[in-house]
Amino acid sequence: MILSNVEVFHALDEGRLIIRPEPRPRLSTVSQAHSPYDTHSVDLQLGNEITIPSGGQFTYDLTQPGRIADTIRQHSETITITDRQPFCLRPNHFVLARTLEWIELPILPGHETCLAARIEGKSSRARFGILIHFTAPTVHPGFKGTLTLEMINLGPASFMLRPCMAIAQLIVEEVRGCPIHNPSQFQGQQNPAG
Amino acid sequence: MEALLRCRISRGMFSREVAVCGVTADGAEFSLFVPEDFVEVDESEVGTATVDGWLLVEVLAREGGRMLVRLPGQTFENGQTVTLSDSQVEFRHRREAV
Repeated sequence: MILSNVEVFHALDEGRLIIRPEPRPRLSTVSQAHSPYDTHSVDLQLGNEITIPSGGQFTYDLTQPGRIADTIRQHSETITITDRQPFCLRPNHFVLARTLEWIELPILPGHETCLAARIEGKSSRARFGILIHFTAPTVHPGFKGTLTLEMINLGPASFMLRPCMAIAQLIVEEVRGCPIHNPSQFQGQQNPAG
Repeated sequence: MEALLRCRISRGMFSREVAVCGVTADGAEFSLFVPEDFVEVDESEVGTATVDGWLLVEVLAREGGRMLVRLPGQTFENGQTVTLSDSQVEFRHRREAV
């Protein structure tokens, strides 16, 4: 079940959902017309780092384990963006970015439910052809961290990325039952990574 | 139950992120990116070099000198759980994050 904005507020107040910094204001007012909360979602902002993967004479092969994370990092460049020096995402270019916000979906002992979430794009960005993720929207119960965005510009024109711009929306869902990792995975396991 | 896994740590793709490389009980290497809050390094900080350190893991099951642990993120190789030998981890409180 997807949480309404009211239920999201409750989850934030009860510590079942942690978003730091917490998006504000919760409600629009005359003096502050914009609230990052919609009826059942909350906007997340773009962080101030963009990582640009580079090509080369190599191929990633996940069947060759070991140090893949290190290799990816070595073949990428991370830049810091500012309001004065935003990043121009050109058509058909792919970059990684992160949300400004740190997200936690704690699994609390004794609770009959916990929360999961999905990160989705915003229609106002999609009209320019901007994808903020294309394969990994799920935020699992127990997650802690910023959300990595896999961004690509499928539009015909360049698009400027600025820190703190609303870039995605988080949709929070209730998971019925408290999840566990099945220890039976351990039984008879030949390849621990498998 | 939490434990600390011996591993190799280097810079991640973003600030406050690290790349972690570990080895399973059967000698298979795995790697993943995690927030630096989940690691403890032997050096004062993670610079450009790869350093030895510890990764915070959650022990899910123990049996016959081995244990199933949940890593704080998905590995590139496959999944978030791996099997370790008891000797690969320490049960102690984590020192300050890097």
